[in-house]
Amino acid sequence: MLELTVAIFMLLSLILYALMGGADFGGGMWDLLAVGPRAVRQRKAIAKAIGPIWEANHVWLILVVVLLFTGFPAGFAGMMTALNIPLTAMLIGIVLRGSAFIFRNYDSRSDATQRHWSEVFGVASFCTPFFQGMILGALTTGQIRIVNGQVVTGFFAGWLTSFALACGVFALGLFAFLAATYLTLDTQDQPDLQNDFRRRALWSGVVLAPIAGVVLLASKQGAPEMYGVSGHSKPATKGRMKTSHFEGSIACWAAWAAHGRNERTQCELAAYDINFGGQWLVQPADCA
Amino acid sequence: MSDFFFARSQMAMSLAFHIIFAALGIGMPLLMAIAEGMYLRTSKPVYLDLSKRWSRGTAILFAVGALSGTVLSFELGLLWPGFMEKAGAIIGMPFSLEGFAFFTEAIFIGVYLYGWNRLSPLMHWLSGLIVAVSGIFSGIFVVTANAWMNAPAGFKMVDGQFTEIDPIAAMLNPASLHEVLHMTLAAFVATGFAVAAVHAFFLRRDRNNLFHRSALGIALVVACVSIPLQILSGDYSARVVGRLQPAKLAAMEADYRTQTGAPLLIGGIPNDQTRTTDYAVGIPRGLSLLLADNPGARVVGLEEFPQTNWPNVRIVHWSFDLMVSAGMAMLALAVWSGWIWWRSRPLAGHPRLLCALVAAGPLGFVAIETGWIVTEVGRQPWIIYGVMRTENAVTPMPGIVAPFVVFTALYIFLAFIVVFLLRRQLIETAGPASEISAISTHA
Repeated sequence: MLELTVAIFMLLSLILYALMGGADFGGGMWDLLAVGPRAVRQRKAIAKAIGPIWEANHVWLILVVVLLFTGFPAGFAGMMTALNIPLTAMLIGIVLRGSAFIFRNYDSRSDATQRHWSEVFGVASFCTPFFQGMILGALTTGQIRIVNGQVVTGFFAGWLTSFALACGVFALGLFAFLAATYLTLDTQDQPDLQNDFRRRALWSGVVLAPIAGVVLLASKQGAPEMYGVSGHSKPATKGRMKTSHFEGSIACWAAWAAHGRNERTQCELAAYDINFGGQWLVQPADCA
Repeated sequence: MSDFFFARSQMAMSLAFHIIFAALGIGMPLLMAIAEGMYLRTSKPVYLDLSKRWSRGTAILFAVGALSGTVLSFELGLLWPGFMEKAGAIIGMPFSLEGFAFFTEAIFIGVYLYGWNRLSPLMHWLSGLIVAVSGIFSGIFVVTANAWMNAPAGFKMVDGQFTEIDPIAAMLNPASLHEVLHMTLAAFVATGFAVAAVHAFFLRRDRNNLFHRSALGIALVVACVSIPLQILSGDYSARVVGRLQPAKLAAMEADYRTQTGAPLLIGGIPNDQTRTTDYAVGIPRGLSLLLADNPGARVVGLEEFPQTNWPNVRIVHWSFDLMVSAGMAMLALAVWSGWIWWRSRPLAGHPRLLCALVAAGPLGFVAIETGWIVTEVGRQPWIIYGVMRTENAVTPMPGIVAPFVVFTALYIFLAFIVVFLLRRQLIETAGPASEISAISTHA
């Protein structure tokens, strides 16, 4: 019962991280992809939207980690061991992105170095969510095994599978879509910019659909338990210990995937979701 | 060198980096809240300017602290899965609470930075106060988790498993009070002296600059009030450590032999083979007097413990001496500043004091770093004192040298960015000489 409560809170934190932190990453992607006559204004709109919230959004990730090691310490230890490499890569991405953002946000002058920092920021915004998707994907493959508290499947299990890679790409697409939707709402006072972001939201939504399909197909082979969640109960023989350790993560992933899979209908909902969560944090930005 | 060595090095490097920003994240909001409070009381624009400039600096430092803190929350598991597997459920509570404090701080820093024209002056000042208070609580919660590693409590050990876990008892373990007091005061001391040094530096060239004079005044008040309290809390800390972790205390004092009327050894070269500390300056009966208020008291030496349970005596002893020296130097400086202030002379007109303040700028951080070396290296070879050895907690992952090198490089790089940005902020502030009249530094 206690475990379930912790898992529910983890799920909520992870959804909030995906919706708010994810939108930050997406903003970084659109910053790198800013083109056309309004590129500079697009970047400004993105910086204004991310500025006040990005530090606060770290907290959702930290909360997931803390809840994980409080509620499922053995699962946490196993995860941190088996996925040491992609987690370290993700951390490097977080540090680079944070450094670049600090530099851009708190330096008053705009010169050539600023442009380089923007590139670091954009590239790190692509890499980090890719690894995050990969890590969540790897957890659901069922390839990571723990016996007597020891990870027995080495340091490469799960995360190099095609399913995990597809999950990484899916996370990228999802965050880009969320950010574009969110920026559409955030630029209501500038119709031309709003139109830019609306088109980006629609296109990334269109691209996201086949990616979601690929993830679903890949899960049949790559994450059979995950694939079976909707149909019948999970194979009871193996994995019982594993699932008890990772059920929180799996539940999060299921909800997350579902959230993205039928994004056409969820488009408005996602926007309101993000807006609801983001607005009260972003509000102070309006006067900046 | 082993993966274990690099895992410890990476953790030490990450903590040593993070603690600078964590301490400034506790100290700076207090300074900016004081400056804004002075503005509300006196309506002098210089204080408003000051709180705005300081808050810009605080935002940069806070962002770096948030970043390195995020990294640390992962590193706990990436480097020490054996520890987290056993201790995660016990120390989860202070970390969760720290999450809430951090979140509050992050939100209100946003409100503070972007809310100058939106909130009423009083509400704006209150949001600054909330930043300061949540910063203090954030530090307190994390330090209790460390205190638990030094004085584990709130569980029962049955067949190598932790049972009957009581997270509140774990948080309120016997080492929490002294560690929390010492660390919180350390943050105020270090921030106060560092900020004072920066503004003293500019005052040496431009002694009438009102902006820097006001800044120096506020920073020095915080520093000079905190340092004597910090010396007292340090004395209390040593007594508690002597009770809870006698081997750590013996290493701090380089005290190999158990003796009555133990001398206080300063400096010297501890030698584990001969079990003597060569070339040390000894103050007869000093240690007994300090620890027990009794010159004849018996003090336990390292010889009481098997050598495999000793920490690295040289590192712990030298770090301890360095920390105490830095503390004493800052105390002397505080007394000097206080003396000049008491005789109603503006500090800015005292070039020798300004020079000393500039030189003392890093001392608070030297004391913080060496103090944490005493705490952490002094706890070795245990990760949970007396319960789990550090080498049994380390990740089985090979090649830890790689992330160690990468993160060290990233942090050095990040440190350069921060110095660069803060310098730009300061050069902007170092405007023309302001009017001489309005303010004496002890305003």
